[in-house]
Amino acid sequence: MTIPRFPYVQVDTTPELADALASLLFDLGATGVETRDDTTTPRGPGGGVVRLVSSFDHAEAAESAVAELREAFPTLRSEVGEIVGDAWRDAYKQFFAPFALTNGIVVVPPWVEGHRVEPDQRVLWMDPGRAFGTGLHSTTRLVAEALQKRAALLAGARVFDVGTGSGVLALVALLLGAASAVAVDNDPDVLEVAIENAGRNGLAGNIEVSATPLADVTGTFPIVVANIRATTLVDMTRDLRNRLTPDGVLILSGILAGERAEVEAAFVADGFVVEEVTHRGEGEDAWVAIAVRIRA
Amino acid sequence: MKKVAGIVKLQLPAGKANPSPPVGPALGQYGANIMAFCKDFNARTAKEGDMIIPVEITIFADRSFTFITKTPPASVLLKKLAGLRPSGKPGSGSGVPNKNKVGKVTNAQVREIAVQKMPDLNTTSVEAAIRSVEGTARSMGITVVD
Repeated sequence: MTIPRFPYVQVDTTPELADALASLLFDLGATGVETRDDTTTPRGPGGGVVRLVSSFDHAEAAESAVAELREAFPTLRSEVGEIVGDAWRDAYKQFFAPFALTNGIVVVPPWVEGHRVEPDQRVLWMDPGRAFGTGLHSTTRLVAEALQKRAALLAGARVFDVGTGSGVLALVALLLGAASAVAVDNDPDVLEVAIENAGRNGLAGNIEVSATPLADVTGTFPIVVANIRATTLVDMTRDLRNRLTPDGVLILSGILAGERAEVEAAFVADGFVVEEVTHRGEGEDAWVAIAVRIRA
Repeated sequence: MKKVAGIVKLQLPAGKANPSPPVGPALGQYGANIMAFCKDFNARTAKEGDMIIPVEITIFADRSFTFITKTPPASVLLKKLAGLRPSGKPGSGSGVPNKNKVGKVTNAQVREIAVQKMPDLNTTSVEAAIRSVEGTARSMGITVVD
């Protein structure tokens, strides 16, 4: 396997010039800029100097950016470097410990041995890898709770999970009694993760995971879940409705509390009624999940 | 109070955070969940169009994190008002600001940006904020006119 390399351009500047310089780095193709100064970790070089570390997709782009930078600001120290490897992507795993996702389901990472569960709890083995979906995020918990509340509806049902990530929500539905699940994600890199997690739980035969675009998925489902984001959900009202049985329920998540009205309005305008809204978190970290049905 | 493990300052395109650098290594060094941050940041900035958003992330000893997003950099706002592309390919700001003047903004527009930026500048004086924005304009090759 080739080791991934991530080029960056580093430049030391003054606080006064940092803003304009960061802007110039974006113009030169940077995909993001980290500012290191006396208040950050890692710290800047000290003495009031601000270090800008800007990321580039390709080494050539970084080289040409640094050449332009040197021409424009010959007195500033700038250099090209490379981050080699991406072990940082998995660093969170050493702190990812078993936790209760709902009052009946405990998420356990596969590398944890001997975790004791209560008799009324079921284990969901999850290694989210590099996909979204440890189960810890409020948006995931809200849907898991909404599914648990609807266990009667799930029994023997076929469910559809849009934007599955690690597969966590499709697998929760299966654990709660669904017979089968169709899970899609537009990021092909995460499909393997979802398939592996299904296998870990002995559910590989019950789930179809693919990168099929939503509009190309066929069939209807009595339960559809979509934990994505508000701006994406409001563009999907029609495609989601086409996948729902007439008496089915669609659970929407990834919605900040402040976006609730807009999402509700979009779905109501497209023939849905709001069945339930659940909340989690507070302040800027307040999320809602909205369960909707097709208006009779 | 939770113990702070680290503070990271980034500038990212609104709604487009992904686990590549600079986000990944900056958060990964503390064992924070990179994908969770991307989900949160993208949701909170989804409506900011093609703006660049400064974000200050505090990571705690228990690996949880919070973050605050700030107003777009004065340079980005200046470019927008000067009719230059807010971000993207070279040519939207001056590579050589002392030689090449790439655009103009009015005093009134500078004041508008200064007022918008006040919450994030270490000043309560509009005049000081205006001077800061004017300085940024100069360094980018944007001329301020009456």
